[in-house]
Amino acid sequence: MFDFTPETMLLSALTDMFDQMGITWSSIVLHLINLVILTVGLYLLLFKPVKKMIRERQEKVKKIEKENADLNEEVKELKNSTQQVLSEAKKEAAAIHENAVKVANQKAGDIMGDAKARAKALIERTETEMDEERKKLQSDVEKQIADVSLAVAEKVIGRDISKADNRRLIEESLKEWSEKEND
Amino acid sequence: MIDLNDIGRGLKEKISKVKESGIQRSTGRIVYSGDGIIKITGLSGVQYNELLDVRGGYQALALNLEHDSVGAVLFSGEDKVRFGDYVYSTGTTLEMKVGEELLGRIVDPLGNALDGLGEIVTGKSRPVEYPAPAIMDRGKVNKPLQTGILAIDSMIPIGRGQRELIIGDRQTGKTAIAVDTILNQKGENVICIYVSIGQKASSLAKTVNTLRSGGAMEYTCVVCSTADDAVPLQYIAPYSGCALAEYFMYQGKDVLIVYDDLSKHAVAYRAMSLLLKRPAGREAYPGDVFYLHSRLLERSAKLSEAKGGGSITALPIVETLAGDISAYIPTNVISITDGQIYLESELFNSGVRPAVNVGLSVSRVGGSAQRKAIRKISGQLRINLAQYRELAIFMQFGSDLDAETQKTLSRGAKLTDTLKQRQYLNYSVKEMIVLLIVSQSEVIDGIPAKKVTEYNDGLLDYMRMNRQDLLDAIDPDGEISEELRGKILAAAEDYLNYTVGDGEAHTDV
Amino acid sequence: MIKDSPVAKIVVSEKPDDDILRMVAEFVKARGCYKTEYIIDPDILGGIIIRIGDKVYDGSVRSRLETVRRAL
Repeated sequence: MFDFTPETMLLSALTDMFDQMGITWSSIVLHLINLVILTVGLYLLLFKPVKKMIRERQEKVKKIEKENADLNEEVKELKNSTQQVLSEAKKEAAAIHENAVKVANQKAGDIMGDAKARAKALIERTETEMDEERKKLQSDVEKQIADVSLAVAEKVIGRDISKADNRRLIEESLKEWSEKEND
Repeated sequence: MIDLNDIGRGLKEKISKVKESGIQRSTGRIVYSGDGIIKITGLSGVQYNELLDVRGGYQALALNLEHDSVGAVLFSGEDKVRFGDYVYSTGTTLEMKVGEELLGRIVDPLGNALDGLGEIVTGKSRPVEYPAPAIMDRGKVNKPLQTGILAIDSMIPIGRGQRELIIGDRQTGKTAIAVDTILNQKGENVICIYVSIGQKASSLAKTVNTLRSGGAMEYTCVVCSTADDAVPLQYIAPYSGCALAEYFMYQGKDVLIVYDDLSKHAVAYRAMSLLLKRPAGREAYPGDVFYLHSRLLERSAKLSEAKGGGSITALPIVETLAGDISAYIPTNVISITDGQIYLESELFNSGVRPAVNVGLSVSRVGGSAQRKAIRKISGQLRINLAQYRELAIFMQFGSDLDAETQKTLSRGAKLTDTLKQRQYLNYSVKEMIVLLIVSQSEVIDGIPAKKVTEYNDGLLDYMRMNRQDLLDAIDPDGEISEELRGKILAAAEDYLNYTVGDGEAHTDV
Repeated sequence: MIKDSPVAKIVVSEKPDDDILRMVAEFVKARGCYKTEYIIDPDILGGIIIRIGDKVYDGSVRSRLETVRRAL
């Protein structure tokens, strides 16, 4: 009835060992049941909350990281826009400056031109005045000469006019007047 | 320097020109002489307004022809003529030298040079008294005469051929307006004649200097009689100026003539009439003092195209006493002219210069001659200003004001500021259009109250330098499109931001 | 003969001869004047001045010289 196969031999050896240590199959089963209950209880009471906590932590970290990145982005953007505004402002300032210089130059030119024109006019006027002065002097001399010659003429005529001349003069005058009135 | 040969030649030439003939003419003898008036017996056949030769080389004008004597006024030699001196008739009326040579010169009412720039030889002359153009020879006033003064060109427009009176108390800038107008005719192809009647030599010198330094003398002739000239010279000065103006008008040219001023002219005429023992009327003026000015101003006209289309625009000036425009001479001249620019000393003293009283100033014919664009935008101007003035008076009672009223007030004040204009600073038509558009828009709300004048000056500079394209786009004779209007306003806004910045701008309302 | 006939005043520089007197008389008669009055005034230098009423006919050398002087 016993066949001595190695398996049976091992089993019997085990049973022997258990017997010697006072362990029965039932206690083993009981222990196993105990273990199961412990494991389940531990899992429920301890492992789950810890896991949840860890997960929450992880999420928080992730969120912070994301916020950081966002902030970085924003800073970058801000930086960009500031530069843009700055450059625009510079451009505008340059434009205004240019305008101002233009206006100033134009005005300066105007003033210069005005002054030049005025100076020229003054010179011209002075020149004409000098010219006029000379002309006046000339006419004064002319007048003097005329006066003197007329005075001489008077003297000479007064003494030298002959009777015949006088007669001729009178005849001419009378004839002229008669002709004129008859016209 | 002096060419003796030249003198000899000149003398010979003159002698050869002398006519070798005995003289026959009507004579009379002086029986009374005093205060520049002479009475002459004889002198039969003398005409009214005939020029008389008084022995000694003096001249007189026959004004009173009576039964047995002739009353005449002396142009010179008041203290030289003597009782019993012979007076010869000349057969001609008083004549004024005319010609292009007179431009740029200062002459007396007989056409003799007073500026020391040499004798004027034109070879042409016109009678000082000349009938006004007939009705059929006249045309319609249809061309504007730009004064360059915003307040006048926008609200009291003057047309070529119009007679616009400038009236106001002393020291209110009457002459300044006339001078500004002359200065503004540069390049406009208008010949200007400035007639000074009985003015102080000092103020006349100032005016002439202004005209000369402004480059206006090239197209201007100054006919001048100062306060110390003989009364008859003062009396004929405006007629002489008008004769010169007519010479150019009948050539088809546009002429601007300024009579500065006619109240002194009336006074000179009164002095003459009283000395001639003519009956005195109201304010001791003789009965024909109205005719005195009406016959002068009637000679200003716009000729029809058939007659060459020339024109004389007259700007007579009348001085009032204490703002009394109902005195004799002012009412007379107001009724003859086609409108008046009324200047007030109160406005002048409160800094409104030119001190034009917009309410009392009118232009009866200039409106049709106004440039189309300006007419369009300045239509509301008068009403806006009137509203403002009404409110401003009301506001003096110091009650609390709602925002709307405050806005109207501030706008009105700024509008008034816009109409202020420095002397000798004339605006072109395009500049006026820009100023009128800007001053009647929202943009003006952004300008701080005290800075309007500055802003306007700057804006015009800015437009000239940077937005020439906009100025070029403005057509004074067309309508201003909404688009162009928008562009002009945008440019004004731009300039506002440049100068004021937008920080404080809107705080001030 | 004729009432109120004006007197012609005639100025000459020296005593006129008959010929001149005749010519002058004719001249003034043509102008409705029958009386003459002679004045001798050497100051006119020569020629003749005839004054009838308001009208003056001046053909004296003095006035000619005066014209020349004025023109110069």
